[in-house]
Formats: sequence, structure tokens, C-alpha cells
Amino acid sequence: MTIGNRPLVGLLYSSAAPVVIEAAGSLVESLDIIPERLFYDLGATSEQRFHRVDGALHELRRHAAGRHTTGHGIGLSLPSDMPIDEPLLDVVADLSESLEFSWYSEHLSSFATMRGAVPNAQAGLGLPVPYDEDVLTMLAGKVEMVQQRLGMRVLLENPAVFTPVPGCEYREPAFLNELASRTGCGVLLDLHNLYTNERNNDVDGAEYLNEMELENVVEVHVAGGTELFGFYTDSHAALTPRPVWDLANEFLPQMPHLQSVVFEFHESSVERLGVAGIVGDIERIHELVDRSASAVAA
Amino acid sequence: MLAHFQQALADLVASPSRCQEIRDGDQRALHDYELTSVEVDRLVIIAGHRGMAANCTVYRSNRLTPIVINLPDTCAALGEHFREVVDQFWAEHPTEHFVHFLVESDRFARFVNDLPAGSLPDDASARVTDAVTREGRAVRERLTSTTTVG
Repeated sequence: MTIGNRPLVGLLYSSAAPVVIEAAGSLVESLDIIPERLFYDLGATSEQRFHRVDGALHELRRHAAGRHTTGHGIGLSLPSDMPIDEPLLDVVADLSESLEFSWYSEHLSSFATMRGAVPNAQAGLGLPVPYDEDVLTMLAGKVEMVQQRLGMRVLLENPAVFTPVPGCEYREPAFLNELASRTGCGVLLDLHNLYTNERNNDVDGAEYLNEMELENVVEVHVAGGTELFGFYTDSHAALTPRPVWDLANEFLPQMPHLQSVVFEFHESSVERLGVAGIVGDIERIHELVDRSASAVAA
Repeated sequence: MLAHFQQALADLVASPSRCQEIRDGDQRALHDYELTSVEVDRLVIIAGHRGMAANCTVYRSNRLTPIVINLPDTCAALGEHFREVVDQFWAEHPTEHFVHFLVESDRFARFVNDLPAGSLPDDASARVTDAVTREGRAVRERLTSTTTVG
């Protein structure tokens, strides 16, 4: 899924994406689609649990025509210590097939818990994961199950966390390396999440990326964030900051299997960012992938 | 065990007062879970981490957002009673699965509509009833304009 030898340039699809897509035109080559935005889940106790949002699906199909699509889920909560929600997985599989996803990504965070769910996964508050052997074993089994059910590769995305779990047996990049080794899954490397962890938790981004096996990276996300009471958040309410571009410029040439670079913005932030500003970041991604592809080829 | 660790962590994120109890050395809030000593130590450290304030703030903001977006007049009509009512709603109606904004808004509108008589002062009650009837209907109409898939 590349154009020539370079990765595709994409956008996280939301209700605000069409105005950007119309302005950017062919600059937007792929769409990351959140399946959970395309149906309502009324819960397992409901007579009819899932209700498709036909209007949203219709509009999405119009904009996805002629573009590559990938799934970017937030509902399966793979690191949670509970069985996979198979009815939900079935709905995701149906959408994956009908929208022709090339791969499916989920987050390395837990949203669901045994007595319920951490609500509003849409906004990205996932719980940090203990990077231990027992969690790795459990997660690997689920990743294999999802890959088998969807018939495609699953990617796991590195999270932004305010409170890392202390004393883990693995560091995060090593955990992702091992998960990829055991399951064949890939990595969705969110450079803004990494930058957020640099800002809040003194993570060294370059050291992190040097530890990660970058040949597992299939997709990269860039985005911007905002301050909240002394913390930097992955709010997607700003354009991509300079340090994220710096990480991308340095490390993308080391990712031989990278297939797409996606800009994420929150739908409530279009006015703040401006359509021209968002298109500007998309243009910068094009420059980035062109340079990186040349470097990889050299 | 891991499932209990994850539940305890989720409950801490939802309850700043629980975090404060643990920071004050009172670990009774962790007694409801089956936790290893390593998990208890981790939760105590996390509860005391400076980032826990951000977790709690983002969590609360995330839960408020769908309600405020879809039921703005209802929230305004509740006025100074909003916090009390929304806390009661969250306590009595924990979510079960991934919750779409409209689903959460519908649940809150029904909850407010079903508040027992006398829950709110008379002057606020009439305004709340008017707003939640109108906005709740609009939310339900959007919810029903869908196709069942399973």
C-alpha cells in the first residue's frame, strides 16, 4: 500500500474530516476509520445491541471512494483481562470487509474493565498497561484471534499516559517488539503520543525509538496537543509541533515497511486549527514521506 | 490478579477522593479487589503520581462532554444542581460497553426525566422538565434514525 516507494499520506476520519478532504483533494490518499463511530452499541442486555449509523456510513463511503482505508478501533480493548467481545468483533469484521480495510489497529491501553467500561473511549482516556509477561501472553492470544477473524494484520498503537505503571518487566518498546515477534502484528507508532510522554514523564523519544524494532512499524501518526493544568495532553487540538516533525525526520528513513503517515485532529478543533492549517500539515507530511522514501532507497 | 488491578485503577481514575485516601495512607479502598502485593504497591504509587490529577480531570471531562454537547439547555436549567445530579447519574448508571455520545446523552435525559418529584426546587424543576423533554426527544430521534445490524 504505497505510491511508488513512498508511504501514503492519510487523515483520521471524523465528522469534520470531509471539509478538509474537499480542500485537500488528492493530497489525502488514505483514511483511518474508527468503526465505533459508525454504529451505536446499546449494550449486551439490549434486544438489538448494534445500530448502524447509515448517514455517517453513506458520507464516509463517498469520501473513501478512490482512497485506501484502514480500521482504527477503540472498542476491543485488547489489553483488558477479559474475553474478547465477540459480537463487537463480528460487527468490526463486517465493516472491515465492506470498507476494505488494509489493516486494523487498536490501542495498547485498556478501556474496558470487568465491571464495566471506562467511558468515552472516543476521547482517548485509556488505562496504562502493565508491561509484564502474563499480560504479553494474554494480549498475544487476543491479537492472534483478531488477526484470524479479520483476515488481516493487526497493529498496536503506543499510548500517551499520564501515570505509567511502575516496575514493569518490559519497557514499552521491548514489549511491542516481543508482541510483534510472537504474533506477526505490527506497530502503529504515534509520534505525538511519544512526544506527550516526553513532556510529561521524561521519556527519551530517541532512546525509545532506538530500542524499538522499526521494521515492525506500518503506520505513523502525527498530531498536536494542548496544555491542561501543567500537563501536556494528546488532545489533537493543535497542529503538529516541531519536536514531532524532528522525530519523524530522523526516524522515518529507518522504517522500511512503513505504509502510511496519518495526521490526526479532533473534530471540535477545525475552527481553531483552520482548514488551511490542517492542509498545511498534510502537505508537510507529503514532503516528509518523499524525503524519507529517498533516504530509504539510498 | 490483572482484571482486579485494571478495575481498581479504573475506579481510582473515576474517584479523586479515593486517590486522596490512598495518598493519605488509607488503603481500605483497595480491599475490595483481589490484588497481589505488587499490584497494591503499583496502585499506591500511581495514586500518588502527579499525573493522576490529569487522569481524573480528563476522565470527568470525557464523561461530561456528550451530555453538555447534546443537552445544553438541560445542563443550563439544572444550574447549581447539575453536579449533584450528574454524580448521582454516574453512581447509579455505570456504563457497560463502549458508549456513544448519543447513547450516553439519551441515558442522562431519561435519568433526569425520571427524577422523583421534589428532587429539584419548583422553579428549576419546570425549566429542567421543559428542556429535557425537548432535547431528549431530539436525541432519541437521532438515535432511531439508524439501521439495526445485530
